[in-house]
Amino acid sequence: MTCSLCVEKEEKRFDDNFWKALPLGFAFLALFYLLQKSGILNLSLGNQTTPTTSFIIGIIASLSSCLVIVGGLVLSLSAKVAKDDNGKTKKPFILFHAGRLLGFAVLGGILGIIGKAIGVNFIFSTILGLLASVVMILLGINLLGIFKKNKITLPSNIFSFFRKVEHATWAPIIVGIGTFFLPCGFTQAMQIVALSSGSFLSGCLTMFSFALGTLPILALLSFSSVSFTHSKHAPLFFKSAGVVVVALALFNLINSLVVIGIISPIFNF
Amino acid sequence: MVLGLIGVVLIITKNENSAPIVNGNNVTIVDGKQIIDLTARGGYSPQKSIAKAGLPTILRFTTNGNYDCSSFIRIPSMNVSKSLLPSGTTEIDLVIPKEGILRGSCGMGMYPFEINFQN
Repeated sequence: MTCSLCVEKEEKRFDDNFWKALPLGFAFLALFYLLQKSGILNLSLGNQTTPTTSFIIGIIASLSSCLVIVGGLVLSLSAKVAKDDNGKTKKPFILFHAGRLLGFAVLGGILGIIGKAIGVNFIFSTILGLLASVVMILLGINLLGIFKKNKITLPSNIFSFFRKVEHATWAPIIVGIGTFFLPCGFTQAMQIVALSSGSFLSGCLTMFSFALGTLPILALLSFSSVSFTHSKHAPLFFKSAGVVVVALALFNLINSLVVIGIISPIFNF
Repeated sequence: MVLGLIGVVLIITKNENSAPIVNGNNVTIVDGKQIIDLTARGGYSPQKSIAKAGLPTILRFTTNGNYDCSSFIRIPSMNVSKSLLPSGTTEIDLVIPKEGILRGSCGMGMYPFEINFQN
């Protein structure tokens, strides 16, 4: 077999998948947009925030603005990890979700003790959001495989670092805890509830129930990445995920510039 | 199907842009103090307001069971970053605004609002 032939085959397969992934990715984004505009997620939950309402708010959050940043990050990281090790292990995903749940419980409790004095710093969470967007763009482009084809390599030491830490136990736990500080409107609102709750236990319960509510959708995003690696549609899945992740990251990036004050608001979601 | 979806999205977006919400009823002047009332819930209402420049002005947000992004107010030009209570009213002192458009958004930048201060 001549090798020029297999390269051609590879490239043809790439193009096929890419042109299928593009409309699939945009269809997912359009569905997401329609869900926001439908008003289904705008239910009234009353004035009291109980662990039950926190849980429901968590579900709503995972289907709306939080999906843009936390979901996008989870999808990009999960797809990358699943692709790298061929979906052999679920350990990093379990550790991520455990880290997120535990982190929210403990940090929520701490907010409860601190009281109204301190909130999560706005600048800090905006910078973290920008960082997450950059990570999402890098991973998204990597998932799309555009640059591999055109022989333009992204900073390779970033990816070798990523490959090194993705199986370390601490990395997914840290990322899971770190999602507490990501700029997600719902998380910020719940943090205010935890702050004004006045005790470790109630702050802890509020944030834990909220994180538990976001778990089903986030788990779906990460574990679907694992199961798709064994399907024949794996390349299409990863490329579609790449389209979605890059689009969400650009949306975040533009919004971050709005919040910093560099540009005027563009979207009205 | 994909084209259909994108079509629906475009139609929705177009409708919104062609009908900007401008409402004068949310601005009141009491004892020389101007109060601009906005409700925050899945965005800000009204999204665009017209008010008088050169008066001591307070921007007042009312919330009722709001946990979404609009419960955090960001006005970059005045360096305002403020959380609203899930339910209640929160006032932001705009001091004496000059003529021009004041732009703000929620904490993630996805829900905008603006106030046009006119002489």
